[in-house]
Amino acid sequence: MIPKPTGTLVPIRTRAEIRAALQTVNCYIIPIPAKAANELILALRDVVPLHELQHLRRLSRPAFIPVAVAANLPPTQFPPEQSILYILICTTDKAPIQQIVDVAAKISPFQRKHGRRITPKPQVSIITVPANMPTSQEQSDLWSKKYWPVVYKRGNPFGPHPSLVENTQMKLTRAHEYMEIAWKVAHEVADIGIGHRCGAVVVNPDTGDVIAAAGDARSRTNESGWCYPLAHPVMRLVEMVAQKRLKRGEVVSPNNPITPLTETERKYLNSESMESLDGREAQKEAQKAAQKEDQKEAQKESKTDGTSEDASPPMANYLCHNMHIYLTHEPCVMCSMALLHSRVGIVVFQHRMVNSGALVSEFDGGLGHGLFWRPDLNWKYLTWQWQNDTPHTRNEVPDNISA
Amino acid sequence: MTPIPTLIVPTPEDKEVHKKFMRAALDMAETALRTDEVPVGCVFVHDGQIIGRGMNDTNRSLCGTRHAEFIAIESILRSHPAEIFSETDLYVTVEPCVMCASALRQLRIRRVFFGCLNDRFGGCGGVLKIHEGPGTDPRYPCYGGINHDEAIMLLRRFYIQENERAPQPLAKKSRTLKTEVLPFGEGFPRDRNFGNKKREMVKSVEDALAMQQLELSNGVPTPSPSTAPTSLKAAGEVHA
Ligand SMILES: [Zn+2]
Ligand SMILES: [Zn+2]
Repeated sequence: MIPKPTGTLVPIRTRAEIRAALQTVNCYIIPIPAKAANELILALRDVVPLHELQHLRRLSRPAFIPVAVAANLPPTQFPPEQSILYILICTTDKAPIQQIVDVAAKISPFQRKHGRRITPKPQVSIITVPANMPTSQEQSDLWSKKYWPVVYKRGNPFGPHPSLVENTQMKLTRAHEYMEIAWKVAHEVADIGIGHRCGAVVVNPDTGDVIAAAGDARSRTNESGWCYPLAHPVMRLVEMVAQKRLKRGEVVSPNNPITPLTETERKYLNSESMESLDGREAQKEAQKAAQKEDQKEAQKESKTDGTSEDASPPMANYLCHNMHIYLTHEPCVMCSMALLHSRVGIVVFQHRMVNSGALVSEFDGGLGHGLFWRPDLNWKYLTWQWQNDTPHTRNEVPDNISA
Repeated sequence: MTPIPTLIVPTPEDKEVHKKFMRAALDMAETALRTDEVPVGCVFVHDGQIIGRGMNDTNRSLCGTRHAEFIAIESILRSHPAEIFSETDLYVTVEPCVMCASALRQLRIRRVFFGCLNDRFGGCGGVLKIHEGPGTDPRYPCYGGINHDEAIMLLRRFYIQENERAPQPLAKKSRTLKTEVLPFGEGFPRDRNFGNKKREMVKSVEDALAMQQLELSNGVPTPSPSTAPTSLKAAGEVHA
C-alpha cells in the first residue's frame, strides 16, 4: 500500500504585511508607582494622542519588560517595597523629552515629602517598539519578548483577515488530490518533451470538480518548427476554461488554438464540468436576485471578509471567478497577473521559484511582488504554499525559469 | 546596472516614425471599439516593417488574458521564431499591463512605445515596473505619451458607448464626450497612496465602475451565461 500523499498548507504573507512587521518607532516610557499611574495619564492627556499605539500595552510591570530592554533602563528611584509600573507614553515625534519630564514632574510621586530622604525625579527612557499591530499570535508573542508587551487583536489590516484564511484553509481538504493531478500533467508534458515538469489544475469551488488541467508546453513546436515560449501551464489553463465556456465553433486563440496535449489534459478539456458549473451557478444567481435583501447581506459580508475591495458583482459565470488553482510551481509575473485578470479565488502552489515567482513577497532575494494581494491592483486572491516532499514531486525545474 | 529611462517621449527626429506606427496601433484600437472590445491596439515592428497586429479580444473570447499584445505575439510566432522579438519594437495604444509587460520581457522585446498610461494594471510604470528591476530576463526601455490624446479619447468613446447600451444610463454629464485631455504625465501618481490627482483615463474607468454599481443596485438581473461577460466585464477595466 502506498501511503496517501499528504502535505501542509502554509499561508503566504502579503507584501504589506511583511513590510509592516519590519517597521519600528521610538517611544517614551517612564516608571511610576502603580497608584500614581492614573494621575500621570491624566496629566499627559494634552500631550499624548488618544488612539496611538493601540497594539501595545499602556502599562507594564517591570517583570514583563524584555530582559534586553530592561538592561538599558536606569534603576528606579522609588523604594523597593513600592509597586512600580512602566507607562508607555507616546512616540518620540509627538513631544520633546523635556516636555514629558516637565509634565511628569508636577504629579505627586515627584513632590518633596516630609520624612523622605530622596525626592525621585521623572526618568523618561526611549525604547523601540513595533510600529504596526501584529497579524498573528506568534508574531505578538515574539514581539512581547523582544520589545514591549504587545496586544494581539485578531485581525490583519495588511492582508486577509486571519479567520478568512483559517476558514478557507479548513475547506481545502482535497488539496493533495488536486496537487496529484497537477503533477500528473506535469510529468506527462515533460515525458513527451514539450515543456518543463510544471502543471496546473483549476477546480470548481462549489462542487470540487476539476474543470481543467494544463501542463507546460513552451518547447512544443508548431508546423513551422517554432516554439511558443509563453505557453506556461497557467496561461494554457486559463484559456482552457474560456474554451470550455465558448460556443461550439468559437476558438479562444485562433492563431494558437488551445488543444489537449496529454491524456490528462484531454480528460478534463472534454469533460462536461463547465456546463454543470454554469448551470448550477446560474440557478444560484437567479435565487439571489429573488431575495434581494439576502444579496445585499452577502455583498456586505464579502466586503468585510476582505476578499475583494470592489466587492464584486454577481458574476459567477465569468472568467475563472473565484475558482481554485493548484500549481506545481510558483507562477511568474505574467501567470500571476493572468490569474488576477481571471479573478481566481485561491491559489495553492508547491515549489517556490525564488528568481521568477511573483506571489511570495519575503525579503529573501526573490522579486517580492506579492501579486496575489496588493492594494494597488483591483483583485486579490488567497495563496498557500503546499509543503510535502515525495520523490515524484521534487523540483526539477531550473531556477532561472519562469513557471 | 544602468537605469533604464522610463516615460520619456523619444527624441524629436524619431517622432514622425513613432507616430506613424502608433497610428497603425490606433487603427487596431478603432477596430476593437467597433466590435465592443476595450479599444486597445498594437503593432510589432521589425526592420521598419509591421510584422504583427493585435487588438484586445477579451470579450469575444471570454478570456481575461486575450490582450492585444498576446494576439499579435501569437500571429508573429506562426511565421517567425521567438528570437525575432529581441530585434522588434512594440507600439501599443495603452501601457502594457503587468501580465503583458512580463510576457514582453520573457520574449526579450527590444523597446516598447505606448500612448497613455494604464493606472489600474500598468506594468511599465503605471502601477508596477515590470520592464525594469530584478528578473531572469533582460530589461527593456519604455517610452510613453505617443499619440497620447487619441488613445485616451478612444477609451472615453468606449465608456460612453457602453453606457448608452446600459439599461440605466448614468447622469447626462457622464454621457457627454469630454474633449480636453491632460498632457501625458500630468497628474501621474508618483506615490499611489496620494492618488489625489488621478488622471483623466482613470476617471473614465471610475465612471464605468459607477455605472456597473448602478446596474446592480437597480436589481438588473445577471445576464445569461452567453452574454454575461460582455458589457459588465469590459466596462470595469482597461485590458491592455
Ligand atoms: Zn508563467
Ligand atoms: Zn495586458
